[in-house]
Amino acid sequence: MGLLDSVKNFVTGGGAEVVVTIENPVIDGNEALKLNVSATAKEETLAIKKVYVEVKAEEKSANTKVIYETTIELENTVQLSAGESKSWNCEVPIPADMPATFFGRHSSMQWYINAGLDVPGIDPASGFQKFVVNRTKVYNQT
Amino acid sequence: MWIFSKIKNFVTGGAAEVKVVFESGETDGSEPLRAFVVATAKDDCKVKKVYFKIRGRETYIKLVHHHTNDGDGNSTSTHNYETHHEAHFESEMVLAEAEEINRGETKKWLAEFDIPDDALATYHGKDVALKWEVFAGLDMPGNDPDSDWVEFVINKKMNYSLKTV
Repeated sequence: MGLLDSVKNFVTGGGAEVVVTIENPVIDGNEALKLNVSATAKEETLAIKKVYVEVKAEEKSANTKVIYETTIELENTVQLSAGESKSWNCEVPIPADMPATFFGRHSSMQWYINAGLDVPGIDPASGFQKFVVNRTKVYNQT
Repeated sequence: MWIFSKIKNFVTGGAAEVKVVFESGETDGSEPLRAFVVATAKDDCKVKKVYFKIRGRETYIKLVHHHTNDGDGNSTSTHNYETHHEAHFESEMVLAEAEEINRGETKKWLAEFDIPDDALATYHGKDVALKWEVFAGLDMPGNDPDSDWVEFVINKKMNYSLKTV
């Protein structure tokens, strides 16, 4: 059973539950995104190479273009015993030259965050969650 | 020679040069947009009206499917990505009527326009855009001399919530 669980978790990323909580999911101006990432190991001890968050901005219409993406490491070399939880707080600045959230009728530009644990196989992760950036982006006439 | 010039201008709209000069080409939307339409006649012009158009237009990519049938009853489906546009806002105002501009003369008219409160901010992306533009023209027999579309930008903070997105 232990071996089967290990194989399953390797393939599914189900070795831990990862939750990202956004303190300010609607960013006003140039404030940083404030996050809490928590991870709870499930059936077995988890050797984590790093804990990370990914931020990306995507423009969508019929196709998707990545406007911005970055990965931030919160901690390296972490071990969680079965059932053990750990959490991390962090602030992620959104670069000032990046666009604000845009929402048209047929297109959008939206911001996402994902937290994950770098482990062998598929990384346990929170899944991408949306957040909003409301600020004035200065464009020039074309 | 003179009659050829008249015909050319009738066809091309070349009887006058029309420009839009913004007081400021950038706005936060709280103040009216102010622009001058400046026309310089290259030939004597009898203008029925001077008009000024405003539009806010979204540019986006659309996946378009095409189905074709040949004579044997075989059908083929293809698809491709096309750039499309949709106007969010369109308006037109008349700045002057029954104007005469003599050859070499320059006239200008003020256009003042209130930006709607719910106007989307300008967005310039990779494949997507939300652009605000104006277009000035002289209504004359034949092709109207015009400025073509000229962009101005609305740089303002939107107020989206998580529910909006």
